[in-house]
Amino acid sequence: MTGHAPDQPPALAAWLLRVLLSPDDREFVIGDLVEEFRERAREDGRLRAGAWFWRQSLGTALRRRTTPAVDAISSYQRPRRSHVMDRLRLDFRHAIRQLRLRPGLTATVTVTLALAIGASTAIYSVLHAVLLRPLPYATPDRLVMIKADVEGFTSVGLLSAPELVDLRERATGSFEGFAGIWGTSGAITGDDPEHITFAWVTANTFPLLGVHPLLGRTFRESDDLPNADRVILIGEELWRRRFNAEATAIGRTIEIDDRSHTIVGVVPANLRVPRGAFALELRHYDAWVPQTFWDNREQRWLGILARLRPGATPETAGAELAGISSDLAREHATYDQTFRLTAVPVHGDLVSGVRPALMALSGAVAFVLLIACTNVAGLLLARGRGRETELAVRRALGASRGRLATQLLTESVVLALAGGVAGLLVAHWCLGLVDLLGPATLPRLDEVALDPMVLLAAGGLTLATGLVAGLAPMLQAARVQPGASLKQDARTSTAGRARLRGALVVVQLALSLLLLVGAGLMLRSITALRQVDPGFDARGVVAARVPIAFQGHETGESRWRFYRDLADRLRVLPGVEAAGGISILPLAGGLLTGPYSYSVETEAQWGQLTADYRSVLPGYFETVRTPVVAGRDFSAADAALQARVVVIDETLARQAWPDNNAIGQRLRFLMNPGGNRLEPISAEVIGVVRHVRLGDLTADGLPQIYRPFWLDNPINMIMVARTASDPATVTGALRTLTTELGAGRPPHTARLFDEYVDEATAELRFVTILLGAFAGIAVALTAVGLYGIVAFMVSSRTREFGVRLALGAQPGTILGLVLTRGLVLTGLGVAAGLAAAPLVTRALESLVFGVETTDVWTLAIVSLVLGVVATIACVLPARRATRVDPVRVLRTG
Amino acid sequence: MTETLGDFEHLVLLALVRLEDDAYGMTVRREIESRTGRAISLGAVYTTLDRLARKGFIGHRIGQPTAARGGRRKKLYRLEPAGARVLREASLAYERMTAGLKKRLETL
Repeated sequence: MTGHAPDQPPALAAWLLRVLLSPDDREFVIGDLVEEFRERAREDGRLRAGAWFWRQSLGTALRRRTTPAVDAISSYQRPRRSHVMDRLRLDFRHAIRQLRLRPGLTATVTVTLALAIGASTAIYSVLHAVLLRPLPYATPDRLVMIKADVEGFTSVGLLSAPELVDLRERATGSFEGFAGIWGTSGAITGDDPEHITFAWVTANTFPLLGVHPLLGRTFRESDDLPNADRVILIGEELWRRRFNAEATAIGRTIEIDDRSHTIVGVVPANLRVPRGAFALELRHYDAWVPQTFWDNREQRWLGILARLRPGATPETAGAELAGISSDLAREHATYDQTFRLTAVPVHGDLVSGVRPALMALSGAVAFVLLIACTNVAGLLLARGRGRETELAVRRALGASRGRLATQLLTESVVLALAGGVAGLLVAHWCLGLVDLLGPATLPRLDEVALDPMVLLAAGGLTLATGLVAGLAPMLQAARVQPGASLKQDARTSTAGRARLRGALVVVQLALSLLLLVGAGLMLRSITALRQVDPGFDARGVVAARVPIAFQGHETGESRWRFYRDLADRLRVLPGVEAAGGISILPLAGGLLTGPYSYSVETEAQWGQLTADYRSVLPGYFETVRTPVVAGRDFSAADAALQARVVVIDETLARQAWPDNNAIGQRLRFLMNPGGNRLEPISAEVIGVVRHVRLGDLTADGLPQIYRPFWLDNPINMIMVARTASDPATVTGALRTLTTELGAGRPPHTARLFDEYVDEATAELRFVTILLGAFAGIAVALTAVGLYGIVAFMVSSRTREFGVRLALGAQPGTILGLVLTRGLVLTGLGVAAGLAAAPLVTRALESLVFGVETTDVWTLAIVSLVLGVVATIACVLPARRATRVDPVRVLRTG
Repeated sequence: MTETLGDFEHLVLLALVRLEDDAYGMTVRREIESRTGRAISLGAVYTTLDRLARKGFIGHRIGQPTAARGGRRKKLYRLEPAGARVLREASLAYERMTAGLKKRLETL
C-alpha cells in the first residue's frame, strides 16, 4: 500500500484521512503529516516513513475526539451541510471508539467473522469457477457435443468423418456449425525435440468456440483443405517456452513428427476443449493443427462439437438429429435401427459429477456463517450493565430509539467490515490450500481465484453478516427504558437478554449437530469404501500407455507381435515380477461397454444386456493380482491359434450359468476384426476372474468381459508391470524398448497404479475433510457461545450465590442450579438438530456410501460428542460459582 | 477563578513557548515527542490545541501554503495573555512542588 511517487505518502492512508477528517481539520492535519512524512522519508527511508504515516493516520483519524452530545451542541454554531453523512460518520467514529474500549471482544469477534467469511468466500470461489462461471467460450450454453448410440454402445462421444460431413450438410436447421477434434500426442522433431500433445481440428473450430488468438490469427476456412500449406496454432505455454513470447514467432516454422508447419497464431493458455469417449473432460493441448477428416464410416474417433443456432433448443436439435439418424440408417447398411445421434450440452455434462459435493459444502459453509453470526450477536448482547447505562443516558438526553438502534447496527457493520477484510486474507489462504489438496476430478480447478464476482459476494456476505449479527443488539436497544435502566437493579432487561442469548445458542447447537452428522456420515463412507474389495491390488504396479503408429502396424499380427514382445521384455527386466497389458485400466477413466448374450433368449434381446469390455494381454491378471477363480488366463498357445476364447468375471458367470461351470460355455459379444468394424463373435469361456471395480469404487458396475488381444488388435494398450522400481525407471526402459521394437511413437510417462486409485477416492476425501473442518469450527464456536452464557449467568448472580452459601447451601446445589440452564439449552439444541437431521442429510444422499443418511449409530455418537463438549463448556464456568466467597460477597455487595 | 492545566495541555503550551513563531501541528508534536520520549499522535495534539483555543488560552493565524506540504496551508498557534497567565501559574506550582526534591527524585 505505498504511494507511487517517491515523496508521496501512502495513497490509501491519505485517502482515509481525507474521508474521515472534518473539513476544518483536513488541510492542516494532512499538511502536517505530509511534511513530516517527507522529512522522515529522507532520513529513515520510505518504508519506515510509510509505516509512521499509517500509524499517525489511523490514530489521528480515529482519535479526533467527539461525543455525540457535544457535537450536537457545537453543531448549533456551524450548520452542517449533509445531515445523514455526518451522522453516519459520527456513528462510525463512535463505533470505532467503543470497539477500541473492548479490545478482547473486538478481537474475538473479528477473528470469528474472518474465519467464517473467509471459508464462505473460498467455497464460493470454487463454486463460482466450477459450477456458475460459464465456460470461456462465446455463449457457451449453446455449445453441444454430438454423441451416438451405435451398435449397442450408448452415448459414445466419438464419431466418424463421414458422419461429420453428413451433419454439416444436413443439420442446418438447428445448428450453426460442426467442428471435429481429435487429440493425440507427438514429438517436436528437429533440434530440441520435445513431446507435446496436439489436436487435429477442423478449421472452423475456433470461430465455433468463439476463441480469439493472443497473437496472429486462428485458422481460415481454407487451412484444412488437403492441399493447403501446413499451418499450426501454438498454445501460450509453448510460445513462451520455445519462442520467448516474441511476436516474431508468427511465420516461423515448427516440426511435428518430421512435418514442418508454419505458425500463424498463438492461443490462450487456458483454452480447453471438451473431449471424451463417454464422460466429458476439458482437455488441454499444446498445439493445434487444421485437418480435414476423411475415413470410412466405421472408424469412430472424432469428437464433434456443435453450436446451436440462436433460438434453437436442445429439443429441436434432438429432433433434427433423430431424423438424420434414421435417414442414415436407411442409406447405409453399417447402421442398425438402434443408431441415434444426440446433442448433449457441454457444461452440464462436465459438472454433473461434482454438483452434489459442492452444494453440500456450500450448505455446510452457510451453517458455519450462521453460527458465527449468532456467536457475534451473543457476544455483542453480553456487553453488560455499562452499555445499558450509556444507552439510557442518551435516551434521556433525547436520542430516539431508531437513532440508538442505528448506532448499534453501525458497530456491528464496522465489526463485520473488519472481519470481512480479514476474511479475504483467510479466503486467499484457503484457496491456496484448495489448490494443494483439491481433487483432480474437480473440473476447472485451476480457474479458481478471487475474482470480482467473488469479491462482490464477499462484500455482500460481510454486510449481511453485520446486519444479522447486529439485529439482536438492535432489538435490545429498542427496548431500553431510560428510567428503569438508570436504576441500580435492571433485572428484567438482563433476563430478556439472557433469553435471547439462550435461543441463539440453541440454534448454534442444532446447526453444529447437523454439521457433525454430515461429517460423521462422510467419515463412515470413507471407511466403508476402504473395505471394498476392488478386485485387484494396485500397490507396486506401474502403468504406462504405449501407443503404436498405424504405419508399420497395419496388420493385427504385427501389433500382437509388438505387444507380446514388449511384455516379454518387460518381464525380464530387473525387479519386475510380472507384466501384462489392458486397453483401459480400472479406475483410470474411460469406459467401453458393449452387448453380450449367452443363450437363445438373451440373443433374441441383443442389446439389453451390456457388459464392460476390455482387451488384455496374457499376464495382466497376474500383474494386478485379480484372482482367477476358475479356469485360466490366456496363453501363448491361444495366441498362436488366434483362438476365439474369452475370460469373464464372476458376476457374468453367476448370471449366465448359475448352476453349471462357466468354463467351456459359449458367450456372444462384439469384436473388432480390423478396420474398426464391430462384429459379433461367439467364443469359448476359458477363465473366470474376480469382479473388479472398473469405473467407480462405490458402484458394483456391470459384468466384465475380457477379450484376448488378437480379437481386436488395439494400437493403444496400457502396459502394466509389478515392480519395486519407481515409475521413472520404467518410463526410461519403455522408451528404449519401444524404440527397439519399432513402436513408431513414444510411450507416455509411467505412473503408479495407486495414484489412479487415490484419485478415485480423492473427491470423497476432499468433501470429508472439509465437512470435518467446518464441523470442528462450528462446535468450537458453539462451545464458546455456551461457555459465555453460563459464565455470564454466574457473574451476574454472584451475590445470590454468596448469600445462599452463607445460608448453608451445599456447593453441589449451586453447581446444579448453574448447570441446569446450560444442560437444558444443550438438550434443546441437540433435540432440534436431531429433528432437522433427516431433512438436511438428504443433501448428502448421492455422496455417502455404505451407510444410510438416517443411520442411527452416527446420530447417536454425534449427539453424544456434542453433548459432552457442551457439558464441559458449561461445567468450566459453573465451577466458579461454587468457589464464591460468601464473606467477600456479602461485605461488598 | 483560575483554571488548572491538564498534563498534556501543559506540555503543549510549553512547546508553544519554545517554538515561538514556528508553532504548528507538526512542530509541536515533534517537540513534545523528542523531549518527553513519548509517542505522540498528531490527532491528540490537535485535540488539545482545539481545547486550549476554546478556553481562550491560545489563538492562531493561517500561514502560507508550501510545496513541502503539497500546497497546503498551516495553522500557526500563539499564546494569548490568558494562556500565558495560566501557564506561568502552573509552571510555578510545579517548581514549588519539586523544590529541593531533585536528589530524592533521582534515587526513587
